[in-house]
Parts: sequence; C-alpha cells; structure tokens
Amino acid sequence: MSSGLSLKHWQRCMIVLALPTLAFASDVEQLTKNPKNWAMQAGGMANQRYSELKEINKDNAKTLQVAWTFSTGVLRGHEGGPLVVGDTMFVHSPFPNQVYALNLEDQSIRWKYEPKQDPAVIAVMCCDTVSRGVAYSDGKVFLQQADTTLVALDAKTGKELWKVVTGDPKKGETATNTPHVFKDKVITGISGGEFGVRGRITAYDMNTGKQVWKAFSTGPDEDMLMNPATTMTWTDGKMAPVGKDSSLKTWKGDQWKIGGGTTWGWYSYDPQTNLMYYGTGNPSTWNPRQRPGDNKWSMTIFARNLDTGEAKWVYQMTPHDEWDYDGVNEMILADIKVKGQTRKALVHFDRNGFGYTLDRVTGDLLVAQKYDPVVNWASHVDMKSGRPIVNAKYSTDKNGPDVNSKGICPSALGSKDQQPASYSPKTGLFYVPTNHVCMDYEPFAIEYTAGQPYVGSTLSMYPAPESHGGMGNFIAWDAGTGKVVWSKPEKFSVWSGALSTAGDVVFYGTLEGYIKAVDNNGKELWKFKTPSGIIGNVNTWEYKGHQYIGVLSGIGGWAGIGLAAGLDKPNEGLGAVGGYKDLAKYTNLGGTLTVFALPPK
Amino acid sequence: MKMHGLALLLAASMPMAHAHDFPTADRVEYVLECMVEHQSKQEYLYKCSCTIDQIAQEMNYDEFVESSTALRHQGLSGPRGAEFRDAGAGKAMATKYKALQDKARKACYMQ
Repeated sequence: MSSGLSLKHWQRCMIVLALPTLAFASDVEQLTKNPKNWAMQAGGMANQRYSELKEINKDNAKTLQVAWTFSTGVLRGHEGGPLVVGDTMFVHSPFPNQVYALNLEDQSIRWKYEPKQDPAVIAVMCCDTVSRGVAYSDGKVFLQQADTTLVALDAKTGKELWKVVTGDPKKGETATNTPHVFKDKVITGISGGEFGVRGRITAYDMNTGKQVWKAFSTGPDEDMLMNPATTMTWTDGKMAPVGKDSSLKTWKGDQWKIGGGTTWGWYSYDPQTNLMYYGTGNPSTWNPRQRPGDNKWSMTIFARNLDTGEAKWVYQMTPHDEWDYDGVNEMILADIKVKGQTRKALVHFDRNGFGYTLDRVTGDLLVAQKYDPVVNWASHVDMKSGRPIVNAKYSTDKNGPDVNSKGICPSALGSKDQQPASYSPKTGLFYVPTNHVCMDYEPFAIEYTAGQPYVGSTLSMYPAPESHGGMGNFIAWDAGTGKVVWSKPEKFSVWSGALSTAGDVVFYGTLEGYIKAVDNNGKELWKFKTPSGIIGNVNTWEYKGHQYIGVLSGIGGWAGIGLAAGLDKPNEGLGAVGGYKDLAKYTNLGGTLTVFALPPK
Repeated sequence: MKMHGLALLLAASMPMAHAHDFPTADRVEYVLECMVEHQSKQEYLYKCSCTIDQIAQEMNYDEFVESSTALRHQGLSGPRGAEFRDAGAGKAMATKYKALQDKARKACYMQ
C-alpha cells in the first residue's frame, strides 16, 4: 500500500531531521498563540473559537461599525471564514473555490487563485457547493477543492506547490471540509454520505503532499487502522478493546463498502496526547431497514494517533442511525470540571441533540445530555452501555418503509449541524448555535448506483411544536453538568459559527443576515444586517493595534429566486442537487465579507 | 384647540410610523437588487423604489426582514431549504411576503 511506503519515507525523514522536525513541525501552532492572528479556521487546534482580544467589549460593542467589505463575487452558501496571519488575510469562496490573499493595510488583492474544476461536481454535492475555508502553515495556504483535490499554495504568491486528488466525484465523492494542519500533516476528509461513498480520513505530508496514512470509517480493521486489542471503546461502564472486525460484524454482507461515515466536520488536535479527534457521518442509505446492524463506525467520535493514524478510542453516538444524525460536528477540547474533578475533556454537540463530554485521553463517557429539551427520538443515553434509548414511536426502522414517522425532534438537520460552537475558558461555558426544528420522516427502498443520490427518504420539516415558534436558539451550555444555562430564541435556525472573546462578548450570525453580539448572559448588545444570510463563522483579529470582527455572508437565496425557481413544493431538492443555474442573472452581488471595528478615535 | 392639533398630528404620523422604520440601507439594497433583476434599466429605479415604499407601508421592518428572508431561502438547496419550503412558519411567512410584494409590484406598474 502506498501509505506504508510513504510512512517509511516519513520515518526516514524523521531520523535525518529528527530535531528540527520536532521543534518546528509547523509554525501554525505558534501563530495561533498570538491572538492578533486568526491562523486556523477555529482560531486554534482545540477548536474553541475563543479570542483573548478585548478591545471590543460588552460596553462598547454597541458602537461597532463597518470598517470595510470584500465581495467574493460568488453566489451560494459561504461557510467557514477568513484567516489572518500578520498583515495578510486569506479568504475563500464556495465552488469554484477561489482563494484571495488580501493586504490588510488597504484591502488590495495580493493574489487570487482559482482552480479549474469540472462543474459536473456540483451535481453530486448534496447540500450546496460550500467550502469551509482554507488552512495555513509555514508559508503555505491549503485549499480543499470541491472535486476532492487538495492543493498547497505559496502564501506569498498564490502559486501551486503541490496537489493531490483525494477522491472520485464520479462515485459521488466530494469535499466541503477545511484542511486541518496538525504538526507536519495536512488532514482532510470526504463528503458524499448521500451518495453511498465510503468515508475516510487521510493525512498528507504538509511539505510534499505525500500520503502518510489513510483510515476508513467502515470495513476491515486494517483499512480502518483499528487495533482490535488496543483500540478502546466504552463498554459496560468502562473502556474495553473493540475486538476483531468490530465494523464488519455490524453490517449485512459488504454494505460497509457503500456505508457512508463521511468526515466533513471540524477536527481538533491535542499536542499533549498527540491525538486528533473527528466525527463520522451517517451510514448510507437513509432507509435504515436496508442496512441492519449498528453500522460501525458511522456516527462515531474517533481519537487517532496523529503520526500513525491508529485509532486509540472510538465512541459511537447513534448506532444504526434512523434519522440522518451525522456525527461530524466539531470536537472541542477543553479542560473542564465534571463532578468536582477537572477533566481533559472533549465536548461535542451532536446532530442527534445530545451534548457529549468525554475524557479525551481515555475516551471515557462522562456526560450525555440533551442540549435542546424538545429532543424526543431517544429518552436518554444509558451511561453504562453508552447507547441512546430510542423511543419506539420515533423509530423509522420499527415503523418501516413507506410509513411516515411524525413529530421526530430534531429534524435531519440536527439540533445543530456543522456550524461550530465556541468555548470561553473565561466563563467555562460553551456558546452553541442550534436548530429548533422537527420532522416527519418516511423512508423508502432504494437501489445503489455509483454517483447517484442514495437517500431513500422523504422528509418534511417544521418549527419545534409547542415552543416559541422560532426555528432556532442560541444557547449557553455547561458541559460539566450537561445543562442549558440560557437559551436565546431565534426566528430561524442559527447556522453560523460562534465566537467568544475575553471582552465578554459572544458573536454569531443569523439567516436574516444579522451579525449579533451578546454578553455572557445572552443579552443582545448589538446587531447589524449584512447583505445576505450568514452561515459563515465569526472570526476576530488585530491589525495595527485595533481589533476587528469579520464574517462571511452569502447563502445563495436572493429575492425572487424561490418563486423563479419554482421551489414552492414541500420536499423538493432534498438530498438532491440544488441547482438554480440562472442565479447569475439576478444579481452580481455575491457573498460578502463584512469587517467591523469600533469607531475611529 | 391644542388637543385637536395633537390628535391631528398623531393621526398624520400613524401611517408614517411604518413607512419610516426601514433603514435607508435596506431600501437602497432592495432597489439595487430589484434593478439588477430588470437589466438595471433606469425605469426600475422608480418602480423598485415605489415597490419597497409600498411594502414598508404594509409591514414593519422586523416583519419585512423575517418574511423576505423566508421567501429567498425557499430556494436553498438540499435539506437546508426544507425549513422554508415545508409546511410551517417559514412557508407561511414566505407566502405572505410574496403576496404582498406581488401586490406592491402591480401597484407600481411592475411586470
């Protein structure tokens, strides 16, 4: 296998360059320690989305105003956010995945990179042509293109340094995640759970693009880099080895080959344990009757050794998914108090509506509680087995195909999707953008065809009944006790990533296009309406002594498009292509980065 | 007389209350976008301005923001758009806004 070869090659390099490699594996970790930069999509490797900057604080946030804006010129959904390293900003667009390097002094464009991609890839992207942004390290910018090409650019010139193809769009494999640079590796994942792809995560050498290891989410132990004796999972109230063929045993026949378990979320890394953490998505198809068993290791939190890829521990949140509750959401690393004891924790807000707190070193399950009280598909998580106790009424498997299971909360969008939460070490709380939407779910039988949608379910979604009538909440969460501390209702789902700061201000965006600032108690301090809905993440940085806040807006929908595209029917476009080809003729405004600062003095 | 004057003033300002709670930026944005939809013809400067002024008479700013958001997000691809297309508050808001905008456009000689 090529991964074995490159591993040996890499070990040789380690011997020759042992000292410098260890000391300067990459500069991004150092860069993230200076709050003037925003050098990783989540601000740092622990995925906390927290900034030590405090020029903007709870008293003056109400005076924030537009400092400058930048249009990407691209329509459709803008996820992720800009990176700032020193005096340069790197900002990306959705497909065709342009990258701009901007000079922060005058916002002039230093360079622009636009990859050539076959637009056919758009047709196999389930949920819009989003990209969650670029990564930076050692003078390189890493871009994960929609067509699965991973490319390294010279941060000074925008010239290609290397590129590597990580998947095959003809099989429905695409990419939407940001590359993650941990130490000397660039880690990337794959999307396409709606197309029956086989999820995996791949590590490449940051300097050469050579594959170091690849680990699948399903299949034989050797493909998954699972060690039957030392890879652990929560079993009967303690950690125990997963045993041989832990994935194969949980699938009918060779269904694991098209089993999904995609990896398009936000990974994190703990340099102390040398473990990286990420989650896997739904098993394919959405019709659970067609794939009996637990479908391991879809819907799973993975902890892997960064250098070898071997899984140290795994925890499956939703065995045998019946609702499309992908497990890919961000893994946040924080040291928090659980039952009076400070734990090295991993906190994860799953699509399934449970907020999980695990010991990130050992994988012990510590807390699993609902972060939206309307969640009803499971009554609770049994802390001994670690399994959710499914409410039979909402089991789309028990109810069977062609039966409409009604009133399931949350909807397939999850109580939260990928939009990342923030953790403030200052308050010890997590600030979480959430969905407050329920659904009716009707699975149907489907045949697998490579490159075709493999969904097999019809859905209808609506605001959580008997609540405030809105479809979202922005909440504060105590991950030590598993309790909602406060909850701020929103009219629509909150699909933007949050930011908390040492200035006691928490930021997030809304689908109306508002960027909002709230204090640590959820009191709204300020809001500003950007040109379009916000599904990007709020980032902050400092330039020439002043703090800035930036967020991408742009969601694709523009006035009149709904009726023009004739998308007025329920269920239309679900899991399928979101094509409104003639969008361009309506507007040339495109997605916009809006940057805010305090008034000039 | 004083009372009478105040009442008159109130009466006069009542219908205007709605019309003036739209920030200038939002009206300009509406007009720009509406003009782009019509090949940016000068004629639509007037027709689009007329339309947003009509809308502003019928709903307050927050309602406008929410319901116009609901309508434009019906076009979102994948499961995302579902919360605006499917039955429920999102769809109701979108339907209401579409009807109001159609009425306003008609009143402004828009096709």
